[in-house]
Amino acid sequence: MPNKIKIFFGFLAVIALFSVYSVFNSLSGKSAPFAAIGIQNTLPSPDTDADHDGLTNREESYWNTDFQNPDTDGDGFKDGEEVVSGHDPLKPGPNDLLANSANLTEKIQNLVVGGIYSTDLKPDNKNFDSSIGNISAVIVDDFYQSQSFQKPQITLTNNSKENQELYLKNTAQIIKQLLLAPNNNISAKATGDQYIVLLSGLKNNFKDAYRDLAQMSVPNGWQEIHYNLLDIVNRSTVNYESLGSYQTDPYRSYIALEDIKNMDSDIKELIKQVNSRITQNHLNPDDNFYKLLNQLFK
Amino acid sequence: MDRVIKIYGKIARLRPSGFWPGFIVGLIYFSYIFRWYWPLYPLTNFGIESNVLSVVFILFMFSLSIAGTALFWGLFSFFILKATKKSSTFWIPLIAAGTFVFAEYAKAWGFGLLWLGNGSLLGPHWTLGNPAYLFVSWPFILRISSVWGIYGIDFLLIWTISIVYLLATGKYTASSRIFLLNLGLIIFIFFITIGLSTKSNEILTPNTIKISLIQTDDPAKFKFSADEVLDNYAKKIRMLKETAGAVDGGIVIFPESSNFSKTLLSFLDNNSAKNYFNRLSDKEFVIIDHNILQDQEGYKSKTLFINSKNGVSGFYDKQLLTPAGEYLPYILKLFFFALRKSVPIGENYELKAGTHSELLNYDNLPIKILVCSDVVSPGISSKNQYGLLVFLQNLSGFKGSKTIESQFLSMLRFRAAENGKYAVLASNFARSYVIDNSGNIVKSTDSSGYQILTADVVPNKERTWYNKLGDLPILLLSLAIFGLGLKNLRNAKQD
Repeated sequence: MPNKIKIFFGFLAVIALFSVYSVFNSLSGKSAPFAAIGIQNTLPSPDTDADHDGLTNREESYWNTDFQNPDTDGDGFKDGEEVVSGHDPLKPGPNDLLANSANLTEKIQNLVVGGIYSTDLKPDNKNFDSSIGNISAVIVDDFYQSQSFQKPQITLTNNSKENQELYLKNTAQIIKQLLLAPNNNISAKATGDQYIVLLSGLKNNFKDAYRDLAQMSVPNGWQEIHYNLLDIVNRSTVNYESLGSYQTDPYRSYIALEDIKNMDSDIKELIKQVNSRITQNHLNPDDNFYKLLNQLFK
Repeated sequence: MDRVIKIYGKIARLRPSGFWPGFIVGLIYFSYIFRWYWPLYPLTNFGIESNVLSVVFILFMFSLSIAGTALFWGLFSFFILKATKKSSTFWIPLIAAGTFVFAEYAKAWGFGLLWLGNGSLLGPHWTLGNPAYLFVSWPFILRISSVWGIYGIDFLLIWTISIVYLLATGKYTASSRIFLLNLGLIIFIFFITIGLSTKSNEILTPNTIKISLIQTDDPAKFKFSADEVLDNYAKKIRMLKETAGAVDGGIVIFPESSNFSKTLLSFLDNNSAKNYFNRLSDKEFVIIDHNILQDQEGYKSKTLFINSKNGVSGFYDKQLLTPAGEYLPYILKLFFFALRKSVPIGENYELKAGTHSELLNYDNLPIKILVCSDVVSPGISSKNQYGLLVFLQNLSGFKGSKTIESQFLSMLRFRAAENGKYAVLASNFARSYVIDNSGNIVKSTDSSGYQILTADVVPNKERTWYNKLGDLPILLLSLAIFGLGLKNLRNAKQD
């Protein structure tokens, strides 16, 4: 074999060896040859967080975000923060909530731990408690936004006395359930744990009530009140559902309990509106609930 | 008869000698007294759905109650048998009376210890089954109670019975000096008592207060449907409206567990609720309403004092909670644990006892509120100076049992007589009453069910001897005599 050919195959063999070495080396995350000659590695390890945004490079790959840009969508929030708080890291805020609402307790946990890890949150800082409060508030706000009530199309009828009285009769049962809901569906033999789960079962009642209300014919003059009622029923559904998740997501149950308390004043305001409209329009609805209201407000 | 005497002789000889006759009589007597446990069956309203468990539970409570109370009668008979062996026949009736007072006083303490739990209030409160209550329809007995209380009546009762027994067995003769001395002492004490008790009756204020009792008929239920709540509430609203105008600035009283304010606040915000009360009448009047409400410490049996123009002006949190009804005693927790059953839940099972003053102010007149089991305690009623007793009860759990109704009524009549105060009883699921300051029934509803009972009552700020001194005089007297009995017992042992 002539020497020229030997040199050529020898050169090919060196290239082949170098290629094999490079492939194996890249798989193990090291690029010794480049390092050896002082060139920076352009393929970082998948388990490191190259841009310090709270997502590892592997996770960046999953979320399709830029592993070298801590804020891919440029909305001022780091990619990692957005993911753990249920926001889309590819879509600028504020309306960038992910469709799949995650566990609120875990979200807070992750945000706080991540914040402490990245030193954004410092436990010895005097604002530490209020920062955590703010994080919680944002998460709660986002959660309720994601569950917010979309006004359904309702069938409107004329405002005749008969239509109004029929409408009131049909809604009475739902309002009564709202006021005195916890009394129903609870078995006498329930233990403490079962009690909360049973309460969460009330959500089905409210879901049904919402469906019935959405399909109901509403007199013209009662449209606003009807939407208020739908909103409250929708909130009740969300809250009672959240109560059922108290074991897996205690924070969500806690905020649901708080909101049930807040709803109390909204319900009473609604009752006032209903009663004042009945008086204004000289209506005489056939249900014991309205007769009682008449006694209380007269 | 011979057979009975023979059986009695055999029992009396059982060891510890003297204990069993008193204990067995106690078992029979307290089985009769505590028979109101049984109408509680079934216990579905209390969160126990199994009928078998209900029977076992009631049987356990019943047996423990009668055995726990009969024990003190057993100890009484045991002591008497020993202490009177070497006593002079003059002292025997007095030693028996003094010892019985101690046994009854210890029983009132012991019942509370038996049902110890988180909500317990320890003290000589549980006078259930005290023999004095059997004589409630005797006016002079009620009069005696204004000086000596129920233990004074127990003392006189056992003293008299012992004399009769000694006469019957021939140890006393009608002409013997000892008998005449005993009789003379009884008559002397009787006249002194009459003298002491008449004083307070003369100083009654001429002013009267119009009272309106709203009697309700709400059954006991673990849960009510929305329509049931509304129906019951609509009746209360109608009755309050009806009575607000007629009460003429007086007091409207709802029974225990009426939950009037609590339900009202399900419909109205605070301002609207205030307006509602304000609109009821042009004249200012007061509403006494009982609710199970939650505060920072937990659920409480709370009586609210609502001024129709100014809102809530005071409250009383019940102090003497009912075992098994308002808190679960340790022994019942153990019972459920032993049967591997979960403890039933319900806001009533873990009520917190109140510490707030139990007097409410009506136009500068202090009013004493008693709720349910509070009435069994003479000590709670005699505490503080006040002008009127208001008793709120709810017997729906007992499904209208006449036994418990009459026992509570007897106790209230005694509380009124002991303290020389008018007492009013607003009831759910039983009749309501107005009782004068001598313990006599002045007015009552004709049946249970939704009704309004109105009356003019005479508030009385003057205190009876019992209201001032409580059980102290009779306990000191009994202690002295009991000490004499102990001395005799020691002498008997030495001989």
